[in-house]
Amino acid sequence: MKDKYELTSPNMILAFISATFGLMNFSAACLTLANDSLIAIGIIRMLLGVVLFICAWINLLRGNIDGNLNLIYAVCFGLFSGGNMILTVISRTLHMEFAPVIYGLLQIFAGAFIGCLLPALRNVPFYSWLKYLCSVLGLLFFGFGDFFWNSNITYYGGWCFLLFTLLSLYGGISSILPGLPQGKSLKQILHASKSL
Amino acid sequence: MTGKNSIASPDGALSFIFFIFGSLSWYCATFTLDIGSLFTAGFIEIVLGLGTLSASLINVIKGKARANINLLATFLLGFFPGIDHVSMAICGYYGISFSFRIFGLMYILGAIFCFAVMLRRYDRPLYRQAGTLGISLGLFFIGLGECTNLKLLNQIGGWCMLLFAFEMFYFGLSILYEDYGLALRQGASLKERLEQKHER
Repeated sequence: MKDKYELTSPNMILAFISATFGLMNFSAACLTLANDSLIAIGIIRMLLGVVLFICAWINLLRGNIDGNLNLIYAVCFGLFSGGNMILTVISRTLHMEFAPVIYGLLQIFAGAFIGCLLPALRNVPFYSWLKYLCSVLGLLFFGFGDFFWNSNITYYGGWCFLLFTLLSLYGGISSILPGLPQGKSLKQILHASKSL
Repeated sequence: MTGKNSIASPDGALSFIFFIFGSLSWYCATFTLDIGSLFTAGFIEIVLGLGTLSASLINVIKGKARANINLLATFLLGFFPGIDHVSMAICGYYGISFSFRIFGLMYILGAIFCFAVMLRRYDRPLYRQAGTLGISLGLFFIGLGECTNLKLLNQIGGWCMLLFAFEMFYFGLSILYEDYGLALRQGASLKERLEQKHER
């Protein structure tokens, strides 16, 4: 007798990884970290980025189009940031000339792309939409901070990422406890405000 | 949204990564970068190249003809420039002389393939054909710049790559909007425009 296999939804681990990325971004922007902490964060990011990539693959194989968004997040939060953090520490240690401008530019472009996608995500629960908005603002603040070499701008991005972490946490817990209230979607809220 | 037997298309995310590749190529070809930034760009290109390789494989499994073009773009925009930039940075750091002519020749070869793809896309929206023309011209000028060591040619190629990056930005958004149930304007194709002109 043959057993039927089905790919399991990786949504819980995706939420956990997103929350971890957000928390690491917050700590890198709002707390003063030494070189060893930075390189540890960089390596963890790269590894989590690879796991997020595999989860995105699983979602795509399951026929879930959210896999595309997961893949974009794996690139922005895992591979870009991890690589940048590792190279920042290496350049400091080797006294190599290094400007984070190129990385800032990439973050601005990524923020603009996800920002333009926000109207299409009107059917997801509002807290989830807010999570995407926080990631866009965080990416833009981080991008402009790196582009202009101004840590004050990055600091605001850190707080956006803390909110992103909390909302990802709620999303992750919701996939463990399906009974938790999800609230209305942006479309429903806009529809309700129009009918008032 | 979730089908048990159908694999979702990774084209939205692929377009986003190709948009990042285009932006990186523009930035590296147009401006003079320090060693660290060159190394970062090369490193990101190689890592993202692995990402597009895996996403292109999904298109191969799905049986899409576009998978071949995705794989071609993975090599031309991910692995070749990545290795090019990393070797540039390492040679610059240690003061070793290194000829980039071989990379230039590979870019020119890739440009010919991309030009053929552009000709094939005459029935696609015009902005898509313009973007493909952008990448073929971009690769050609960057290749020529690498072969002749002329920065001006590289810069011309860089601006052509920015055209390709914008095409990928809009195309990626169009796919994702369609997936989520909305449609963005695509415009007429060159074929349709020519037909309309003949009718008049």
